[in-house]
Amino acid sequence: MKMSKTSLILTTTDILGRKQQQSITDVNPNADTTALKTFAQMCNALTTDTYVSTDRIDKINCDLEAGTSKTTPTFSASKTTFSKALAGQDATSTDDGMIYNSRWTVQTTVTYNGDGVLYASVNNAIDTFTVTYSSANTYTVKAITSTSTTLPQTITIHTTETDTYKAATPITLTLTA
Amino acid sequence: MADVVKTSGTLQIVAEFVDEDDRSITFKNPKATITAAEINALSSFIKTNGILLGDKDSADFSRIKSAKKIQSTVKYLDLDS
Repeated sequence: MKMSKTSLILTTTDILGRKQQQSITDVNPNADTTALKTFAQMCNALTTDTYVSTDRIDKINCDLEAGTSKTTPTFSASKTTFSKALAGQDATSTDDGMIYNSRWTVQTTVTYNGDGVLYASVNNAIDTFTVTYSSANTYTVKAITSTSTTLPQTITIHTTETDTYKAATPITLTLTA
Repeated sequence: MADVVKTSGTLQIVAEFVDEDDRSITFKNPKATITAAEINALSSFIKTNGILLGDKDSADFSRIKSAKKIQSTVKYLDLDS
């Protein structure tokens, strides 16, 4: 699946004090914001300009979002881990202490700046999950898959639409052998 | 009035992706001395943190393939002398 890339705008001042802006394209929309800032600063360190700021561009499609004033949230998943029960052993949930037979666990860190509800579904069926608020705009989503061990399985993380925010484009994680 | 000479430089970095496609990033006002270590550190950082994606199929970043400084000199000829 082709992800749409985003861009950065790096703002600096040159040695004569003039404001400069540089666009950096081909940026991963799921990259961590702090890492993007560090990247921009490292690039700027190769020049004689003084760093001012970095902006990540949020792409809004005017055709799809025509006639609405709702904001599109920034929604991305990173640091995803998949773990499974070893052969002959059951997967244990660390949330409720229950033992699940032949289940897979996926845990991901989701960055979401909207105010809708976050939920996860496995193969399009709502399944057991927990969402823990970690820090500003960051959530840990842990989903325990169904008892079926047929692979591949698709875990989709969704948000709901609110008065202020649109529903974000769902994130799909694929669990393969 | 004599001829006026202005020089300017750019730093062109070529990023390569695992599908062997490459993209250029160009910066103005490069420093006088840029070391290989600085470019390699940037390359490692991009790779570790998933900063850039390739154009064709959002392929992962592989490495910085090349970095070059391009200097241009413009001489404005004095047409009044």
